[in-house]
Amino acid sequence: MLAKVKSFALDGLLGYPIDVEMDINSGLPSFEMVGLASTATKESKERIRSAVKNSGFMYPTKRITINLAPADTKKEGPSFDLAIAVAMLIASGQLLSANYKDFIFLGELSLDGTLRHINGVMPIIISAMQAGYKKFVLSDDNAKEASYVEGIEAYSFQNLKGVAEFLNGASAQMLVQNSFEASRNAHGYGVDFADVKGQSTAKRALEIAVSGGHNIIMIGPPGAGKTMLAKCVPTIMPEMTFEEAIEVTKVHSIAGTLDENIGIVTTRPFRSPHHTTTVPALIGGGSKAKPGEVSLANHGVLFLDEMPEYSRYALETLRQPLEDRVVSVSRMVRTVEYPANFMLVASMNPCPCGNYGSKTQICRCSVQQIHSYLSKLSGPLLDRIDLQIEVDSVSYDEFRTQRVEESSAKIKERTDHAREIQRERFKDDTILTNAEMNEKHLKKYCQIDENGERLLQKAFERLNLSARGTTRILKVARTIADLEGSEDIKNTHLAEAIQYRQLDRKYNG
Amino acid sequence: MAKFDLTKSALIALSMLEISNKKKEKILSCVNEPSELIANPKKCKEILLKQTTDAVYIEFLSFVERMEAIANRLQNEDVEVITLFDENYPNNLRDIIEAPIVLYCKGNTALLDKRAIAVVGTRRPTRYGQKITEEFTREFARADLVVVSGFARGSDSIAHRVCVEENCPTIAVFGSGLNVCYPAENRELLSGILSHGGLIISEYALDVKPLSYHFPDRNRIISGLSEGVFLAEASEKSGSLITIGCATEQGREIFVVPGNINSPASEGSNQVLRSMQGALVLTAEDVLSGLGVYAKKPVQEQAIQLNFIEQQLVDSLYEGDLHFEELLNIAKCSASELSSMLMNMELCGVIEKLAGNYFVLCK
Repeated sequence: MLAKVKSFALDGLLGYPIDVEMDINSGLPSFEMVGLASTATKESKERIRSAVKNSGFMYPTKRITINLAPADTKKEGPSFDLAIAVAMLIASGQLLSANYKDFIFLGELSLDGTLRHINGVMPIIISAMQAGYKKFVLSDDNAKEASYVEGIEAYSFQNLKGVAEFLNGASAQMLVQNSFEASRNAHGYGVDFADVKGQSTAKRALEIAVSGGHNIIMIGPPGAGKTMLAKCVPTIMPEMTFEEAIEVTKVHSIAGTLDENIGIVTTRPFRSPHHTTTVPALIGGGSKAKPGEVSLANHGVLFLDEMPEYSRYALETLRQPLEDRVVSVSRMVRTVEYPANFMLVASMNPCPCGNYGSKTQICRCSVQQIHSYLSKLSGPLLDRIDLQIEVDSVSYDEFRTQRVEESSAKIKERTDHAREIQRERFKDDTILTNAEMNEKHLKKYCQIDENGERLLQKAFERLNLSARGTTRILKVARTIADLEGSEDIKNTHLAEAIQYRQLDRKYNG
Repeated sequence: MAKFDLTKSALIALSMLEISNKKKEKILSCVNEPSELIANPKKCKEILLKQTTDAVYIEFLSFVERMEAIANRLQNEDVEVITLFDENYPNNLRDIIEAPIVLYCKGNTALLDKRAIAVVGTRRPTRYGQKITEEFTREFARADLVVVSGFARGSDSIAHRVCVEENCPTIAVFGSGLNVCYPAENRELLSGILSHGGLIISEYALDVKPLSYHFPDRNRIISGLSEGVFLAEASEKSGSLITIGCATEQGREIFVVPGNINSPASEGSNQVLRSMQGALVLTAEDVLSGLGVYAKKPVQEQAIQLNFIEQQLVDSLYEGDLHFEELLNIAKCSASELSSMLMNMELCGVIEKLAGNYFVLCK
């Protein structure tokens, strides 16, 4: 007898329907799977045999043929287990109801028949809905994740037996929709700017960076607190909207980094790949074209600690996502596009030993060493980093002071306000933040008066700034003006913006 | 087509030999006229073989043979050769022991006759050394002294750079041939020196590599060209102490700034002060009056109007450099206001930002 059950597979973030067809014929007992199944998929044969038996069903000792259609796309992963098992029960006549036809089955089976968690449920369900499917059967482990999608009819079960009983007419509880707002309020970041003592310049610069969506690099000796500062950045970013959360969750779901107890990403991601990271791990790729760190940091922060230590090749590949805010991962068989709209926060030492310019420590690096260390960051890459600041270690006194530091919530009020102003300003343009402004926008929104021109001129002469910094200074000055609620860019704004061009200053020879 | 006369050819060929300066002087003292070395081959052979080896003699002959090509190359590269027997050879240098036989010069050779002061120091200056070198050099340059230094990393480069910034000529004495930019990261500085009416000189042929034993020899030219030598900072084994030694031998004035007795970077210069108390200087005016030069009146800078907080900041900076956080405590304003205030003051030349978010008053 022939059975046909629906499941879904993923290509990047997009899902497409899979027909799991099973035919059981008389003949020598065998289990044949066709339709470009990968190893993990093919191995389902053993899982299904045990799961079916251990759930109290009979495993047909006949010639079994399975086709995963369409037959020309590669099928990855164990997510078709449930669909195949259901198809087997139907084909072998152990399940007689016909209502399975409306459902999409998603789940991996363990040997005792328990349904296990699979990756990518959120993007699958969203794609399936767009394709007109509404009913889903999935594992309890995936229930939380699925429950955030509106307008679906989903049922989750603990094991194969439960699924079979449900299809045979037993009643089951439909998944209740979870509220994103509620989960968001329940989960915080665990860090706060109030815990960072001193570092007023760095905090101010980060506030500006978040307000205008600028990338930032912090230069300072080891132990200055660069990592701590970076970790606090998401706490002053705007609250994630539901749409953003869904977008982030989709990527994390595919990568398998989603917390199944929450089921959705409620906080802005903070990713800090180690500096030995490979290019595919950073950008995305591998034979399965998995999302990389840049995509996992979508709508959040990508933190590159000790930036010059990353391979030059890895750093250069960041240029395209920084510009386009998406990455296309091309492999021989397919090209997948992942979002990569992140804020880059980087840190570095002033020199290889870290003590250059320190008041108390002696730097042991030669000038060439410092030179080659700094030149690891190419001009085009630095061009995409608007703020460059110096961070230095906090003295003992500062640790001890009772001065109350501003909390993240308070800073966030200001950044939110600045973002609001930008949204209003750019409502007719296709951009959201000051950092995204191009030449045309600069002309329109970043006019400075004669006094400002004179100030810039003076800065170039006195500080030996390089000319490629001008647009950066203007953008940052625009953000500073927004933070103050000022329509025009005043001289004070410009002056502060110039302060944040540390790497443009020439180091002493 | 360029062609050198016999004297010049002989001196160039002689200078290119890889023998000590002492030997070269000896050879020169054996002839009445340097041109004899070429005009009288028999005598030349006799002298060279007596003083040196066969190989050196053969080398000498090959240099003489190739002299036209050498002359052409020098002309193409815009390099002027001044020999000890030329009239425009700097008088200061002529008198020193083992004066270089030839000087390869590129740039403004008129500088060689001007009053000059050497600025030397460590290759790894501390913040203190950097600041002192910068300040003193600036005053020297403004007083129309030509600053001579060795183009090395650290203090030397700072001295040259300050001159370029002040748009004043400076002389860089190379320890390599003029076509070898050593250290390579100073390439930009090199073109800056030349484009601001400066001069680079060397006693080595164009492509000679910067070998370690060239540098002590080069130091005698630095001090030889100058009326005085200024030293801001030197560690115990610093090469600049060799320059001080040369300067003493040559009877030049020596000016040394005292350093922190705890700082290893000042050990050498403090030692010099112990043996020569008269060398101690505290201001650039000390140096200038020691040389009998009077500083030009500084151009009256535009008065800068500071507001109340800015004045407070300046007052507290009189005691030394302060960190941004400390200034924040003094100003009692927001970090953003302070940032922009400090930048404005920096642009007006009131203060200066140091590495590590420290700020200091400009002199």
